[in-house]
Amino acid sequence: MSAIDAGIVPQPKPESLAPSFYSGKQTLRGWLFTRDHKRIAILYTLSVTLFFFLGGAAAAMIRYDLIVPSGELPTEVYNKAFTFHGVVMVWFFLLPSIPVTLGNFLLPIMIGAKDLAFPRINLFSWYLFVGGGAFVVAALWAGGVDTGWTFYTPYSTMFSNTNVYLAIIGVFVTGFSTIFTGLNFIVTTHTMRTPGMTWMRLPLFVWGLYAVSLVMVLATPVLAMTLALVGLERVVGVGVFDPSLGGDPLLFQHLFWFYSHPAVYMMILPAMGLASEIISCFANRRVFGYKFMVYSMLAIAVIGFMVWGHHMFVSGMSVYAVMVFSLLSFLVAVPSAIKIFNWTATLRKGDIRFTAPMLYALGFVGLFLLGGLTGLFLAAPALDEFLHDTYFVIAHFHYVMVGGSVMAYLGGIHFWWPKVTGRMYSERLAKFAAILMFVGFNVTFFPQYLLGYRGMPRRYHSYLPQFQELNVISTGGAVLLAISYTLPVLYLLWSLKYGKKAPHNPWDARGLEWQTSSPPPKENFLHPPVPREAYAYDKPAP
Amino acid sequence: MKPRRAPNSRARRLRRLIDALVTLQALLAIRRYRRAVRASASARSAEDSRVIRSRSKPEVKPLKTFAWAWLGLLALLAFTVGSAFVDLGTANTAVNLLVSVIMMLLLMTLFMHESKARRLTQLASAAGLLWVVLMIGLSLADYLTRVHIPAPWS
Amino acid sequence: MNAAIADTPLEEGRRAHLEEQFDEPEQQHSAASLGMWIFLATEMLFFGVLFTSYTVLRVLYPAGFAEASRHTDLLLGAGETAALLTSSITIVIALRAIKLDQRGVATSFLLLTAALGTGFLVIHGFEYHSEWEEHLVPGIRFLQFGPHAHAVELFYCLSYLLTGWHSIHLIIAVSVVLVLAARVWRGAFGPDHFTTLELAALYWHLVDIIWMFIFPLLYLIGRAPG
Repeated sequence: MSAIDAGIVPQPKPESLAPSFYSGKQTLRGWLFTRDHKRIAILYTLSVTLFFFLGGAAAAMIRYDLIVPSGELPTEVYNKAFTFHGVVMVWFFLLPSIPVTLGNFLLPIMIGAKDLAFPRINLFSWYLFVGGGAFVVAALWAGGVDTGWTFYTPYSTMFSNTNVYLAIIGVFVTGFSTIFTGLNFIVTTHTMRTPGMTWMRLPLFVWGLYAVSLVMVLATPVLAMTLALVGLERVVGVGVFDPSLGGDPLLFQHLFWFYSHPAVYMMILPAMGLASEIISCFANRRVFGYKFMVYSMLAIAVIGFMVWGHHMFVSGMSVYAVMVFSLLSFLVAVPSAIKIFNWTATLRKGDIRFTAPMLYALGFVGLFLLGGLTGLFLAAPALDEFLHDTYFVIAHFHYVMVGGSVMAYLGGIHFWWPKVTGRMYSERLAKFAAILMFVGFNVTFFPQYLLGYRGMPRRYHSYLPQFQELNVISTGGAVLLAISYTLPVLYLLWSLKYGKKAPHNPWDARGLEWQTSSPPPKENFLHPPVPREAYAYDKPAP
Repeated sequence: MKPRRAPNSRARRLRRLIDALVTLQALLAIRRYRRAVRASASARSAEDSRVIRSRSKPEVKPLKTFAWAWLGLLALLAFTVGSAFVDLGTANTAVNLLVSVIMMLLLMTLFMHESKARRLTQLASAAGLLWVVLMIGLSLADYLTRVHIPAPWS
Repeated sequence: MNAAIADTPLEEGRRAHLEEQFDEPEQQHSAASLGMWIFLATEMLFFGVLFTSYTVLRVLYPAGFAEASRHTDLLLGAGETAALLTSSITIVIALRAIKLDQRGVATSFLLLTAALGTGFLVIHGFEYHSEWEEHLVPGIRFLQFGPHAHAVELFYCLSYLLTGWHSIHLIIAVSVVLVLAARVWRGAFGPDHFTTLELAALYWHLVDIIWMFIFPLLYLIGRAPG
């Protein structure tokens, strides 16, 4: 395949002679005590990938159990498997993934700064993340947890005999990792933009990180205290969620979902930022409606805090509250829809190159659209009455989180791989993996919409015989999906040693990060960069 | 050529008056100009003088400010405790919380550092408060509107 | 504009403490200040969960909460509140002293602040003791009778949660202030370099402000006759 087919544009400029950030301290100490945001990003990438495969193993157990109606696994094991899958995937993969890997690496470079505002706090965040993960793995080692990742009371506070305490401590500790990262990103974006980098020249990925950081700092402390309340109630035996005292188990749900709904917007906002970067580059067009893209991300961040009750439509909550939350949930779909229209408009009349990152980004747009639309189904209380706690919900959130966030994350990893590692990966294998992922994903999760619609409940290790066909298809798709996730690990690692050396701007993209070498030097730039307007694809690259 | 008439005293006085007026006008104009230059210079240097002051010595508030603040806080405390002994119904809690808010604003405005980021830090603390109000408010949307449906057997 | 003017000693001092990721001392100070304020906002949300739980349960059980509040010791409560309010003043006096390069005054007022904070904790310890004696510790030593017994237990769950988490934050604040007092005495801070003290004062104020809300909610309900 020629370089042009691979989307690589020949660069006339000579390579920079500055030593990259990899040279310098090469010892273990040099990495574990680093303050360099780029090295911390790589530490995070390793941890996050590890947790992804741990959570994936739990997913494999779930799909294996569901091949037969009676369930291949015993109930207790299945319950622990879906709990572990949820806890690990939500808190140790999806929420951190894009911000702590690509965000940590790129945010300072994209705004022209030398590092984040608080590099030591950044490193401390990584240690908190790994520490929290250790507690969760300890909970698994000690026999697992079976409450579901949502820890609903009174089961989690009074009746579960599993290691709830260890799991809660793990999530509590990791929560602070998130809070400090968000704090760092907000302060950095406000105070460390290079002269000339005004707010409206920022790449949309930076805006996405800013929006997600706002949510991180406002929502995560609520989770921390709520889980602490659950832990204390378990230890002391009484608490505010205790119905025998007149307390309210639903209070836990209100507090939990006040965090957990914005949490899902934390998962999607950076992915939306990534999509804008990749699509504009490979359509060779400015992003359509830049300002609306910015405002819609901020609107999603803010309105996303007002919709949590849609997780509680059938919980016994007041019907008037149900109506209020339903209305607000429909409202929050509007900014997301605006973004879909704008991505589509960006593609129109573009000079499109179907590289691997572009395939991932296009997959993101389509699958996020499907997932988002089914969210509207669930926002209608009359429908949710029947769809709540069925596989319809599972399909919905996997479409937005996996078809959405994970695809965007992989697109971003491929897009910036040359920048971070200085190597090009195999474009042919990457395209194959992307297409296999898209196919495998749909084969896995589309049947789940049908299963849910037909009444199959979630979180049960067994099911009625009429659901078997679709379940087997879904598990088959999961096998394809597993292969498509493993392939990138293999060819990306391979490229580290054998990949072609990357020029500083292999994709002919715009943005400050493409003006420095691949990989960048420790200070990010040899000369202070001069920002221009964002997405200047109608002008040649500087 | 017309013969030059010798300037008589009247014309001389008039000329001197006109000269004086012109000079006065010029002087006034110069004074106006100088004042304007001084004013714009001092407007510029208000910023500079703040920078220069902060470059040479940080700004401090007089101790009196702190004494008054202390007395104010204690007075508010006495007021809020005292008001609890008067039966105002639901207004009791409202008064207490209002006093708490005033105490909080007093502390925050008095000691918030005068820096370029002041508006931003105000926004940060306002957001924190607003979000707590949101959490309580929307939760109450449930709790205040629940209709108690008794169990069939009760 | 400033390039032509040489650094004053103050500016020089500030530049000496500049971290490598920043370009200007003012930038570093803005960043530290904004970072601390955002952290304070997260603490508000953290305690906000307890305030939400309190609000919900009080709406459900107004009479029970009023009765429970009458068991709290108003005198000790008002006293410790006064101590904490005073400590907020003493810590800013300490900050002012450092800006005026008065190391001795600054150290004394920091120690006074820590003492007042410790005084609060001691007074509250007495309250915890008497609650233990009166069987008001939910789940561990609780024995109340009457129609509102359950609501009283819920109130005390919240009381221990609110005052407990607050005390933990106060202990951290007192420790930080003591460490800073030692560093001030050894000359680690001066008019050109006192950002850490500013941040500590902000944190102290937050601990005080949280108590300003806890106090009326726990101590001042149901006090009026009739």
